[in-house]
Amino acid sequence: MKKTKIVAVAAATLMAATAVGALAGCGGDPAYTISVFLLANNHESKFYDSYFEHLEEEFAAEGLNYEIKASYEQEANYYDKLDTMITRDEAPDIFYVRPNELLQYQASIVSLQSYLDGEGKDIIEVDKVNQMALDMYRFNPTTGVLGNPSDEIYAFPKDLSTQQLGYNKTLLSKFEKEIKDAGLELPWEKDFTKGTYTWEQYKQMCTVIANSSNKGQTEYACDVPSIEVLSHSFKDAQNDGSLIDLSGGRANGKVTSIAEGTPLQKAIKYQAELVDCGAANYKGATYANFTAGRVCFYGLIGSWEVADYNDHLGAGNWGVMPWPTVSGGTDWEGVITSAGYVVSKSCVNNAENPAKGDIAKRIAISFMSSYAQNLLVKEEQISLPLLTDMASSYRDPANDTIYSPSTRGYFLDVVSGSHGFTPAEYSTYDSVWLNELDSALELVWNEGKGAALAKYNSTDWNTVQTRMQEQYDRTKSN
Amino acid sequence: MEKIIEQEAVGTPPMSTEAQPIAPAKKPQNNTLSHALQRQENVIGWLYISPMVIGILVFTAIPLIMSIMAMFYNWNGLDSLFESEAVGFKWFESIFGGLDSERYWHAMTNTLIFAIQLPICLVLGFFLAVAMNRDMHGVQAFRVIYYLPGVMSIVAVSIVWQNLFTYGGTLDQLYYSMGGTGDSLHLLDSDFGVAFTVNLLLVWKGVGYSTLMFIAGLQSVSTDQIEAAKIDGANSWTILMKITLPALYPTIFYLFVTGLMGALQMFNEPFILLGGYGTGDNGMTVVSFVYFYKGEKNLGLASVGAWVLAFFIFIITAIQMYVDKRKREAE
Amino acid sequence: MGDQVLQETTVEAPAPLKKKTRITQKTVIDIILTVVLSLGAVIMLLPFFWMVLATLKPHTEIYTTFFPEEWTLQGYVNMWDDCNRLMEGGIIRGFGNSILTTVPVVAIQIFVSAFAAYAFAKLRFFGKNIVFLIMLGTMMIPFAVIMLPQAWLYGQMNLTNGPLAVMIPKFFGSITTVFFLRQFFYSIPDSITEAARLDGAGYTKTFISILLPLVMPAIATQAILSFIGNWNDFLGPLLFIGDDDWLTLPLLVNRLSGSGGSTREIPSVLAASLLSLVPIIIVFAAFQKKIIGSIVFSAVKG
Repeated sequence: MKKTKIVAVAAATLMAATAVGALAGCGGDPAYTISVFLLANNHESKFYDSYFEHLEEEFAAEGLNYEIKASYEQEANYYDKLDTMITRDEAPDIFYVRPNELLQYQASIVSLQSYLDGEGKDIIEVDKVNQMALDMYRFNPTTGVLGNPSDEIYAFPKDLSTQQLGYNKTLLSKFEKEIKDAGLELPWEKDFTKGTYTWEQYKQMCTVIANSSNKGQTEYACDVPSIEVLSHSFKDAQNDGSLIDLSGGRANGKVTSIAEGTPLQKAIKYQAELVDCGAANYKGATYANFTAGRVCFYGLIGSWEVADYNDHLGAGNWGVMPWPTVSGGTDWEGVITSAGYVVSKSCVNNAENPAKGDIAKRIAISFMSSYAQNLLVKEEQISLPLLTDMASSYRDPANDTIYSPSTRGYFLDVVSGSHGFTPAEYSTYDSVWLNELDSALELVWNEGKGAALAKYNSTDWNTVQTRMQEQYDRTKSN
Repeated sequence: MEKIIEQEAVGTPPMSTEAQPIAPAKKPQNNTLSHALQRQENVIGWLYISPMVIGILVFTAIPLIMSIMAMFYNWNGLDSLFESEAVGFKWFESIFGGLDSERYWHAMTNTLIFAIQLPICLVLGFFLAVAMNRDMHGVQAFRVIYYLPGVMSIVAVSIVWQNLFTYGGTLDQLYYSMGGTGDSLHLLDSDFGVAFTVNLLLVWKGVGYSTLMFIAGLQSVSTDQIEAAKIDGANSWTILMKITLPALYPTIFYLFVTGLMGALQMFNEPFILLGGYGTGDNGMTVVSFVYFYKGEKNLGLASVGAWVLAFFIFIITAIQMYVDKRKREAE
Repeated sequence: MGDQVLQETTVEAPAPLKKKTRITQKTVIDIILTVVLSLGAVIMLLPFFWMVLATLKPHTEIYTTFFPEEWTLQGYVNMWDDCNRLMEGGIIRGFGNSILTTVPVVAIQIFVSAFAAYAFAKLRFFGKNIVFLIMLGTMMIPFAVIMLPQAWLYGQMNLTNGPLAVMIPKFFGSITTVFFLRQFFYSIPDSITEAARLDGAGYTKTFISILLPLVMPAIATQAILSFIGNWNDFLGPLLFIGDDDWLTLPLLVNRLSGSGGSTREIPSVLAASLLSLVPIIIVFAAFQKKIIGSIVFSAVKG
């Protein structure tokens, strides 16, 4: 019995090895390789694959024998794998980070400022790039401050994106009568240049929809709007609504107050009210349900999902609108998100690979070139344009057949700076402190219709704030 | 041959030089062997376990030591451990009554609640194994079927179970079609709901393994005693409880010890069911806590969390092993 | 087993009537049990059944229907294409990688573990209990904390090109297997070992010729479990296989799945999961007989 087992094992191993060997056998003469490891979903990885092929051809045409070895993972596993690679000294030459991760990975990355000022000028047109995108990745290793325009840049932006408010036109049309009866306008008929909805109107509209919904159809009026958007919206003279005040530097970061009357407190209360009257269905208003056409208003995750929404909902059946404001004016704000490419510290020009560092930086910066931007924005529809000339063409209604949705201009409004702000966690070492707030909020929303407000009233928000501050303090020196 | 017997006869009870007894010797031979024999047994014993020992020394010892050291540093996992800032007992203070203590001990409570599935699996597994051990049609198919949930990929299981229990998911749809008036069954909203569903998922996944183990164990149960009992007129149930069950003690012990170790270290199932840590972290287990802080680049805290858990597991297991040793000595 | 005894007994029973009743009683119990087991089997299988159906649906129907309204093989086509895009050789190579990282590992692991289990159960040697406790202790540390130190170690040892980091450590035995087999070795009476010793057999011969066959059910069980465990191992390969040419099936399935919430990839992901299950079922079916068959215990004792 054991003998046959051994034979079977040997045979299987031999088979597998042959199969594997045969496949590994193909490959040309060794080129220099640059390893790239990125966080990408299937859409994005298709883009990257075709783009890297193009780059390799470009290199070949210039007589550079470089091969780009790219690997992708989804969000859930990306950081685990990246961390493992870094720990064992095999960091990928280029990898993907978000702005605050510059703090976490600072020992593994290099400054790209000199490249930007030098050769980078030949690859991209620096003046055409959205300055906000570049500034996000400026970092001072000594003070740990992020985003200061006078510091060196440590990553090249991949994109700018926003979490904008989206609506489902088909679904809303069903409730047209009820909405109009309540004295409100429909989003596609409203002139937002004159003013946005007020938060009260928004609440009203969602309540009307929720009350008219056919229970069996489980239509969900809206998701709970982001706490940061609300907080910024309720800003006053003393407090601009940011969740953390870093004006005194990272060592003196102060978590914003939740005392009565502050923007954050009003924001939390509004969320509770929204859930309490049934307007917001935080369990039902999910991404899956929005793409399935069951949610009226939804805070879109990011502009890179546009292609997905078109697929599922149909291009003309959904749109994007400005976030509501307190007084119905035009000072609405949305959150800007971003991700970028860093070059690892170990990727330097050396004897074996004489241009390694330069080529890696060139690849990283090239995502801001017109070619790449064209690919990203126009063809794959997974990004907002970073280049200003492209931005105006993107916005132009004449190009409605190329870009969608027709209301996409609001995306650009956010990232052009006049209507956008960067989230608090982009400037702090980790987001555990923010977690304290999120957990407390979730407990309120979870109570559901009719009970959320009571939970809000019974929660001790001062304790929440103290814990937030303590969690932040712990990372001040990281 | 004579020589060997002589040597054994020196220190051993007379029994071994007699003809083979029919009943097994009651007292194990734990009295001393001769020096030469003992030395030989030492060598052979260590030889047989040497691969395992080497494996542990090479691949596990150093990481273990590093993780112990990490408890006293502010290590983010990326830079060198030795260049990180030493913080003494800071993380210990945090877990025992400090900033993270609420979250940690809540996670510990959750872990224990999610371990309820273990006795359920064992009991269910035992009866299923007995049933599947009979000479009936299709038992082989049943064995595969009951084990199938345990081997399905995590991705598939999460898709299926999330869809089942989520707000507006399959079970809710069933509820609507049967005339339910609320907006949902709210299965995953309450702490009880989460506890129930997670345990359900774990039993569904885990019962096959216990069943399989028991089936293997049943194969080795001696039929002599069962025969004797039947002759004495005992009914099937009594035989089951008084003979089969005790004979399965080694299997039960193994399942309980390893099962408890596994249950206390569980983190995946609640996460895939809830798609996260749950409202108010009611789906966060101790190991989830460890992964969470690892992800937030705080390996000192994560290590302390893990080692405190390991300490508890160690104590529990040691007690179990001690009980087992005493039991075996009594036989 | 016990039921055969039952019938033997009834032959000796006084009245033939009793024999009839007894047989009927067994059959009745059998029927009841079969029904109960079948009900349970339905519960066990239902999600699996849904999964199979889901691979044959267009992705828009995933959550809306149970039976497909439109039967399609698009899921499988997408799976094939996507796998080819993700890795040279696609899903076939994934199979190959999985086989390579599982079969030799299981064979060697069981071999090594069996020896160790025998030693812990039957031999007396210096430090036995302490070593065993330490070994058990290593099972108590969650992987999360040794993950990064292990990564560092494997990096230092240069094991991370290809699948070696996932295979080599496992060659040195598995503690669960040792624990389990130890239990079985314990249940073999010492008299057998003694008998063999008296016959002049050395330790190794005793082990291989006599004891090993006795614990075959246990070994077969562990072989199956070890195979399944290694086949489905996700976290280890994810972190320690550096090269994308060596993705195992669980890693491929993971790569196939799209961003959270979108249903587009679900049919192909489930299709890949299904294919990944096939070898497991084959191994299970093949080894199952070994668990039952073999040597009846009492025969050896006489």
